[in-house]
Amino acid sequence: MIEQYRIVLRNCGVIDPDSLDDYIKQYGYQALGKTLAEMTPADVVAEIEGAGLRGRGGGGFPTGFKWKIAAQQKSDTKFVVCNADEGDPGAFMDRSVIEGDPHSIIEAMAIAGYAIGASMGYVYVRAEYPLAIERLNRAIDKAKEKGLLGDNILGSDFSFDLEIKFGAGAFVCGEETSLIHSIEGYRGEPTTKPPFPAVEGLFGKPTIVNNVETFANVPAIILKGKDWFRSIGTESSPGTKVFALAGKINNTGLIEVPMGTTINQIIFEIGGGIPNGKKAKAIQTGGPSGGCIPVKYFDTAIDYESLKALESMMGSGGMIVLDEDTCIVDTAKFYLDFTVDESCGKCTPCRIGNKRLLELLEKVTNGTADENTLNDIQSLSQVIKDTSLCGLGQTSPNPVLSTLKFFPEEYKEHIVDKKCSAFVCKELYQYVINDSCVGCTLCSKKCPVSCIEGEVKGVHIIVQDDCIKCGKCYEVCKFNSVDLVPGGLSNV
Amino acid sequence: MFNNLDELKTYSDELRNKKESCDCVEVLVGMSSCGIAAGAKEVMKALQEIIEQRGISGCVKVKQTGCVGMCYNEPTMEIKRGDESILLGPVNVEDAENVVDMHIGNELKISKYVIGNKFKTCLD
Amino acid sequence: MSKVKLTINGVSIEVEKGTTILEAAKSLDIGIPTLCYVDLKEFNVKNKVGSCRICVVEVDGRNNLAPSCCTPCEEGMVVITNSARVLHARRTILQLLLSDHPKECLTCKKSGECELQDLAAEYRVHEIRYEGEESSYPADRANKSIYRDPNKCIMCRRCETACNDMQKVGILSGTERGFGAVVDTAAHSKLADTYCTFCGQCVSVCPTGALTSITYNQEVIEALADPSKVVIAQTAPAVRVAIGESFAEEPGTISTGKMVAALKKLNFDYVFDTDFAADLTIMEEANEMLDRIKNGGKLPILTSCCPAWVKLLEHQFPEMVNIPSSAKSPQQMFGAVAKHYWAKKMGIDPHNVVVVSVMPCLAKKYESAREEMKSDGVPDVDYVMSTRELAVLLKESGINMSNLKEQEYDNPLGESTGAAVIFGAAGGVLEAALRTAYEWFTGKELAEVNFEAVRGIDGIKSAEIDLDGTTVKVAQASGLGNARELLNKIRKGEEAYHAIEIMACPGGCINGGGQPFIHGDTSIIKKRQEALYNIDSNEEIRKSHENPMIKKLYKEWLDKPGSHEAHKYLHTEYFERGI
Ligand SMILES: Cc1cc2nc3c(=O)[nH]c(=O)nc-3n(C[C@H](O)[C@H](O)[C@H](O)COP(=O)(O)O)c2cc1C
Ligand code: SF4
Ligand code: SF4
Ligand code: SF4
Ligand code: SF4
Ligand code: SF4
Ligand code: SF4
Repeated sequence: MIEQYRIVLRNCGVIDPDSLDDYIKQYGYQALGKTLAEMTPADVVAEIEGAGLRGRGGGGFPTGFKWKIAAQQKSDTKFVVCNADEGDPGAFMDRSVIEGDPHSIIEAMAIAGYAIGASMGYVYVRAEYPLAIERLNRAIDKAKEKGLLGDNILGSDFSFDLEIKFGAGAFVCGEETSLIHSIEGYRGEPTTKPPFPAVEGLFGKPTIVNNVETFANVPAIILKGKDWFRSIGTESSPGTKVFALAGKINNTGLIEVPMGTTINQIIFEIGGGIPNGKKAKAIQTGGPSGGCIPVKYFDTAIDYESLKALESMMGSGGMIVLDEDTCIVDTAKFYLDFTVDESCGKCTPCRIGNKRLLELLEKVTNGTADENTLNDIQSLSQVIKDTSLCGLGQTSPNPVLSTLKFFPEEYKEHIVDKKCSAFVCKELYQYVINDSCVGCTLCSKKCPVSCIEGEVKGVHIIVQDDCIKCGKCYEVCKFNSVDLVPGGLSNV
Repeated sequence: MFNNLDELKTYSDELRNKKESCDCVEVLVGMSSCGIAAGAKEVMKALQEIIEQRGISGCVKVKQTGCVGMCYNEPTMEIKRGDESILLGPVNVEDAENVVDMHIGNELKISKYVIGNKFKTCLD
Repeated sequence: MSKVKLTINGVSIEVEKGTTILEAAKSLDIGIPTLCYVDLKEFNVKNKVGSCRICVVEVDGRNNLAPSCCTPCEEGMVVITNSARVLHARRTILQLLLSDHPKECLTCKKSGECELQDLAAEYRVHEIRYEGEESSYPADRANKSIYRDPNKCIMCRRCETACNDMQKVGILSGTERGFGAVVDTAAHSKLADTYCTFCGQCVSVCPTGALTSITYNQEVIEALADPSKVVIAQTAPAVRVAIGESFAEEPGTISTGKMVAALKKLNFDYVFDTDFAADLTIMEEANEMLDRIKNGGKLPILTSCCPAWVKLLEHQFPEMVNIPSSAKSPQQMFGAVAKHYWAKKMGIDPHNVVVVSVMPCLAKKYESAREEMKSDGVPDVDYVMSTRELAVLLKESGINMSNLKEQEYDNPLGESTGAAVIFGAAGGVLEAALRTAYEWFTGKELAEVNFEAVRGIDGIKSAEIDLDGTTVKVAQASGLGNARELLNKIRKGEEAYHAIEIMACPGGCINGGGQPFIHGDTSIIKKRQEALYNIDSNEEIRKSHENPMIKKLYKEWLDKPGSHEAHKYLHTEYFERGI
């Protein structure tokens, strides 16, 4: 039986986030003290690099390497930025960490500042997180009062200050270059890399941008050492990962497990399995940049590489369990719909391409697709991935491509048979009343558009042209006389 | 004001070594946005009132904490007595009285509210 | 600078570090299409946003394709610019652009000069594979100068770069998100309700028909056909050195005589020269300048011939609205003289005179419609057409300007000096004013008429001129961004000058918003500039006050510069405009 092991969430639900004493009791700020008293900046970078910590904001970029590049830049001003924009629908671990353990982020950012030679940091929090902002603000004030932040931290020569910036609420503002422009006061729009922020970032100065969860690991690594960290997780992805479990799973919520835990363990041992005795169909990871992994791969040990190999992504750690009642095409459409809304609109493939891709998917779900549609989807997806400017566009076709790869028959069923087995795509099913109807008239009374005709005690009939497929009749009929059947394209 | 690492460490040790005089109970209510949305604020207030009424506030401390991650059981709380601890949830305002009876007044470790133990962390 | 070695399509090349793949490929004569990228080299402005993605290439070891316009070359890079994958991607990008674009080429103002249309032709996009919802935005034509049709915008952001980075006016920028993203004014307001100066630099760089000029060609055609009207043309200095480009002449070709001939072929009753009025402007402006220097008036005196710059001042430097010269611009002076002096002499009712200006400029359209630009209730100028629009009208009328025999301007308003023609280049007005001011102030003949220090297309230039013992400090700024910089310094008291010339367009009117498109090749601007100075140096008379017709004008009508009559017809005032 796998158990949770908490590094990132070590203090969440344990301490009072508004109490500095509580944090200090948990060895708080001792990692910062240790770096200042006993380590050179290069030691700190080496420790993080040696630990093999990788960015938890989605890409899995080696954190120590990023810090090293920034540390190598010759510049009088450098910045540390904490990315708490958390735009991925369904992920909320960053909010939880800031709300539950704000000092851990402050401490980690100061450590990063010392490592790269920065004396100023920004926490970019989405404005929809007022409680997180409130607690972080209080924590900053308290840390300053006690000499743990601000000038000459813990009596050393090192000074580091923090400021909170509010996110505009757009998903793309979580992309690091976009986030930087947003802090600078410009439109939150990505720019091409290179130059990478570590070389030329905020206000043109070397800047490291790291995710909240990434930072939360840092004090623990400094206190317990890189070897300890490497002993957890897998070879290529040491440490733990926080996942947000949602969808068709009994125990929804946040969990933290060592990298290398299998999907099965997560869903069935920790997540309590699928509700209502249904079967699992797939798990969606990586949010709008990720994909759907089918049940047959559920024994995969999760890390950055294994998820990629399955056409998905770690992303920020959203995990949505899909059961047998899910329509996979509709799921892909849901994520693409999100990206189409959240694209910044700067580059052609993402602005127009994703819109067209969504329209192609709509054709599949509404029964107007033909034999060319799948080809078009494949071809367009590839170009969008190939040519988009930022990570949003480069990954936006993933939900489509992965479902197309693992569930081709479901696409074909929609296109060729004009059928949605999950009865999700409205245009591809209909309600019909069978001969067992006793003519109780209940359905016709309940139908919101009054499209059920028939005499009392006679078999009723649904006028398909007017039916809005609300399912009311199906729900209320006591004689099982209303059937849900494939087809129905003609009356849409 | 901490002037160096040693001062910080000493203070930290002191906090950890401080033993309560009696067999005190600590109630940690999950007060993150999700907990608050599920009614944690009201539950915390109810608990405080009941404890006040019963005159046991001297040895029962109600505190806020962050999210333990169990969305499906919010509002959640942890009850700590010495080294022992249990997680409870969902505890609504109507349940407050019950919880005080069963878990604060007694040493009961099993009830419909118990959802498990504290998670293992790297600081254990 | 260190060097890096790479191969492009199998050819090795060594370039300086920081060179982009696009630049490296260009030096190997390997063509890569671009849409959003533009390098206005001479003005140090680049649009390098990497938004259109048409310039993608394949780079070994990279997962996705690389935008060549903004990807620096690296040691050992292996680049392919024309693989099947690349060509497929480019064609798809084009198809996507066209799928959300009005397919109106046949009726589009930009047709024939549109970079999107050219690319679609080059890539033989004969079907649009992905069709779907098309954007629909309201067009804005509620002003005299610029027509904005966001439906044709491809989000290349060139206009944004021109307006924000170069002109620093900040009117246009990316707005909204996703499929609804479009370049627009901040509050989606009409240009007329912003502090847009109508300089037209955005129009100059726009690759498509999203930004074009508002044309009055039809009105001109109708006036020309109306027997009750006397229709006269005036041509600005910068037009003669640019219009040839529209007839496949080499940039820098001087087409004065052919242009006059072409206008006559269009049945203009008289073809006059704005240069005449430029000389007149110098008379008034130099007089005002000396008056202010001698009598302790407000300094610096700022030139006022550029309406876009005047509008910027009115919006953004309200405390300075009383320092430009009160002299009207040459275009407006010309109209006033034509209608109130020449018409009278000819016995024509000024109401029946139609003045058509041919200008390198879009702001001139706006200027001619300003309420104050009237004398005795008659507008000085009736219609303004841009250089490009004249070329269109000529082609439509079947006139191939290149093949015409040169003709002379009509008299008397066709007479001008070398000082007037250089008005078209940044620094020219100042130089012309100095030629006259020197002689008036010192009473001596100016030996060296060339003031090289104020010439050239650098953004800001300054010089100290010795007026026989009195030093006059002058400065010149072209491009509104540079103008703002200079004015801010004056505002803060960091710099002080006696006289300043400001031109809204970088390099002056030769680079005006109404000139033939240069498609990013700023060397063309330099050639136009050289041509103007050539005309000047070949003129016999090179000082405005020596223009015999100008002398006659004062004798017969205005008496002397700054007279009551001159003020009535040739001077104007400026207003604080707010936003
Ligand atoms: C569209 C898009 C949205 C992103 N949103 C976030 C986000 O909300 N939070 C985050 O930490 N990283 C986000 N990222 C990743 C950041 O660009 C960046 O890689 C990350 O903050 C680096 O931190 P890390 O190395 O610690 O993960 C996003 C990337 C893209 C392309
Ligand atoms: S890929 Fe999408 S989000 Fe990223 S720059 Fe292009 S349009 Fe904007
Ligand atoms: S599905 Fe709804 S609309 Fe259709 S017949 Fe039944 S009740 Fe009426
Ligand atoms: S903007 Fe270009 S492509 Fe579009 S309609 Fe006009 S000419 Fe055609
Ligand atoms: S005309 Fe000039 S000021 Fe107006 S939007 Fe265009 S570039 Fe900007
Ligand atoms: S208006 Fe023209 S220049 Fe501006 S972004 Fe659109 S297409 Fe480009
Ligand atoms: S510089 Fe010349 S072309 Fe440009 S706006 Fe001014 S007057 Fe017009």
